[in-house]
Amino acid sequence: MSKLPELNKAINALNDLWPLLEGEERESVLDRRNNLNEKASALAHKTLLEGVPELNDTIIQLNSATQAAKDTKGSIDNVAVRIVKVADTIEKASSAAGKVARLIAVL
Amino acid sequence: MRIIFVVATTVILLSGCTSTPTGNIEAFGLAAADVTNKIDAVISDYNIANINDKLVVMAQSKKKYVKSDFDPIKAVIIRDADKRNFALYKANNALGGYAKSLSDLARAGSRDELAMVGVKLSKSLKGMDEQYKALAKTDKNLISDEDSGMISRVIAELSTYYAEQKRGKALKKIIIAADPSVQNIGKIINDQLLKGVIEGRLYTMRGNELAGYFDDYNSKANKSSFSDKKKTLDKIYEMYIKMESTTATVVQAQKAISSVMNAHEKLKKNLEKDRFDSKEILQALGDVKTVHKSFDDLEELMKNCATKIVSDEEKGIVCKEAATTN
Repeated sequence: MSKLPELNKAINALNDLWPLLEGEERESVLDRRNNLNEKASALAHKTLLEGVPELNDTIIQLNSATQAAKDTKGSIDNVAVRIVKVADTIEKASSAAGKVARLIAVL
Repeated sequence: MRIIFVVATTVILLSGCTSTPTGNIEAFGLAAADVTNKIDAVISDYNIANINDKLVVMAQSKKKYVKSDFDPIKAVIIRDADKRNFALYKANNALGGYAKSLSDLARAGSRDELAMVGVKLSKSLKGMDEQYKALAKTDKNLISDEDSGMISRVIAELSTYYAEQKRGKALKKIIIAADPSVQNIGKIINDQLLKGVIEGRLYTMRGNELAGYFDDYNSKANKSSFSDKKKTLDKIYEMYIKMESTTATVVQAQKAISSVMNAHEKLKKNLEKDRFDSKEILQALGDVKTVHKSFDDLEELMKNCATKIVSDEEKGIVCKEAATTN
């Protein structure tokens, strides 16, 4: 990756030169610029793709912190869910008891 | 009667308990997630610039083209389409996901949400009482309205207390444990990827295009009138300023990430002392918001440069780094 700044510098220097030239000289410098540009592009892509060695471990560590936060949120959300369940059960049980009582009264 | 007394006492006691305000952590999570969205936009800009660069190189050649000459561009599109492969995207995504999970957790089990649940429970108890009175054919309450309200309130208060304690404890533990990873990822995003790769390549690719316009200008310079040349130079100058401000965009992105790292560190330090709220935290949160608002602004970079504005041959217009950071 340390080569990338050098490649960019060389490309920038050639960009300040080839528009001033003509004919074969122009083509030759432009070819050289294109060549270096392709190398720089490939190197940049490789760095962006691979990152740096310690990055993957750090991402794994941060993702496990994210998971811990999600799990805790889930268990806190469950408190509300459980109370709602209790409320629903009371509602259903008392409604069922009412229905049974009405049925017994009819019989 | 004794139960009601206990319940009433519990409500009063819990209402007076110290809560752990997690609003700042929620604000941090939201602001940090917003910053990572902007970094995502920088990645997209970089991909677009790569495709443009291929077209620039083609346009600067004297070759004639057919459809198949676009194949290399197709390869770049395919290569860059799945940005999830990029280390920068993965790092940024991990940071964004973490920030979101913090704000989600900080919001979980809010007082309002649990109060609503308490109201539902109160209604169910009231319904049960109605059924009881109908079944027992009596006017006497099994649980009075007042009592069912009180029971629901104490359950809501207990749950809120439990949720706040659990949330506060977990956030403290997670933020302290994650700080080294946040600092490390932020540093890699800034130094290795934004500064090391994207900044220099964006500047160079824009320079490739600018050289093409100068080539056009130079080839017609002898035959053009002053006004035509001035018009052309105005256009080229616009592109030149855009090229020179490339660094400003990336520097603002770096500043935004740095402000997130700084705010996280401040949170960590305060949480270590069981402080969820402090002037220092508020200041750091304010910085995250301010920095990402002025994200794309060359003028902002120039205004806020504490050292000296200089022109760098590799990066364009930059704020000279302070001697201590060199």
